[in-house]
Amino acid sequence: MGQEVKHVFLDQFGCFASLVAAFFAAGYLKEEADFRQLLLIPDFAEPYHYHPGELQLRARDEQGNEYYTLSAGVYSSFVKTVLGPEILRLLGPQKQLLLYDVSRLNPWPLSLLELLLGGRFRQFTRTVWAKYLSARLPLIVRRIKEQHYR
Amino acid sequence: MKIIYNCYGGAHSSVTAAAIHLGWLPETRPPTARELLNLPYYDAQKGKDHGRIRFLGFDCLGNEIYVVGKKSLGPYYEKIMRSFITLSEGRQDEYLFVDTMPYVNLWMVIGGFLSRRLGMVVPGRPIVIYGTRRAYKKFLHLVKIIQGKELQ
Repeated sequence: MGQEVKHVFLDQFGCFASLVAAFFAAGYLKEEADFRQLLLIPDFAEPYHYHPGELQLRARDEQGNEYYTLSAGVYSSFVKTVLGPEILRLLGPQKQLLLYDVSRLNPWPLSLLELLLGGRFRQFTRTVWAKYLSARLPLIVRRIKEQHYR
Repeated sequence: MKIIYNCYGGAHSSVTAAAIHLGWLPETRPPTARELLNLPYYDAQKGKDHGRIRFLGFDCLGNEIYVVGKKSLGPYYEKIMRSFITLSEGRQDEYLFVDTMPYVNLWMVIGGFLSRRLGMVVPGRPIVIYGTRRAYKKFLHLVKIIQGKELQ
C-alpha cells in the first residue's frame, strides 16, 4: 500500500509520443512493436482538441501504478521543470508522481501538419505518425529511462 | 484557500491585484510610483522566474495570496494546474486561479516588455507604472469580485 506511482507523459497533444511512451511504460507495448500495434492503441493520434491541459488516464498496471498523458502544447518542458514542481510544492506530500517530457520526439513538421489539417485525412496522418513513432520507439524507451533515473 | 493571481510575467498586474487584495494599496485613489515600487516582485521578476509561485501574504480571512507568471499559457495555465491537483488528489475548491491579463492595457504591455524582456528599465518602468495607474480601477473591481467569491 502507498507504493503506487503516477507516471505522467507530456507532449504537445497528449496522443502521440506521450501515449506510446505511456503504453510502453505500462508494459502494453514492446520496444520492437511495429506501426500496426501503435495503431491499435486507443486514441492514438486522435487529439480530442488542440488545447493544452488535457489529462487522460491511459493505463494501469498490476502493481496499481497509473500512466497518464498530459497535453502541454509547446510548454512541455516548462510544465515538467517549473509548473509541475511548483504546484506540487504547494500541494504538499502526496503519492509519488513522475513527469516525463517526450515532446521532442514528435517531429515538428508532423505536429504543424496536424494543426494545419485540424483532423482531416485522419487515417493517413495516423499511419504516418505510427510509422514514424514505431521507428523511434527505441529512442522513446531511452528517453523514459533517462528521465526516470535522473 | 490559496488564491493565485496570474499574468504573463508575474511582475505587474498580478502583483498589483494581489497587493490590493492584501490591503497594501489604497482603494480610493491610484497608487503612487513609490507605493508600486515598494511592492515585492513589482517590476522585478525576470524570465527565469516564470512559473514560480510566489507567496505574498495572508488576507484578512486567512487565505494565502500568491502571484505567478504563466508566459503565454493564458487560460490553459489553470487547466494544467488543476490537472496536477487532480493527480495529487488535492481539493480543487482550495485553489482559486485569477487571471489578471484581461485588465492589462497597452501601456503595461509596452512598459513591461521594455523593462522586463529588454532590460530597459528606463523608459520601461515609468511607462508600466503609468499603465498600472490607468488600469487601477479595473484591478480594484477584479479584487472586489474575488473577495466576494471568498465570502460565499
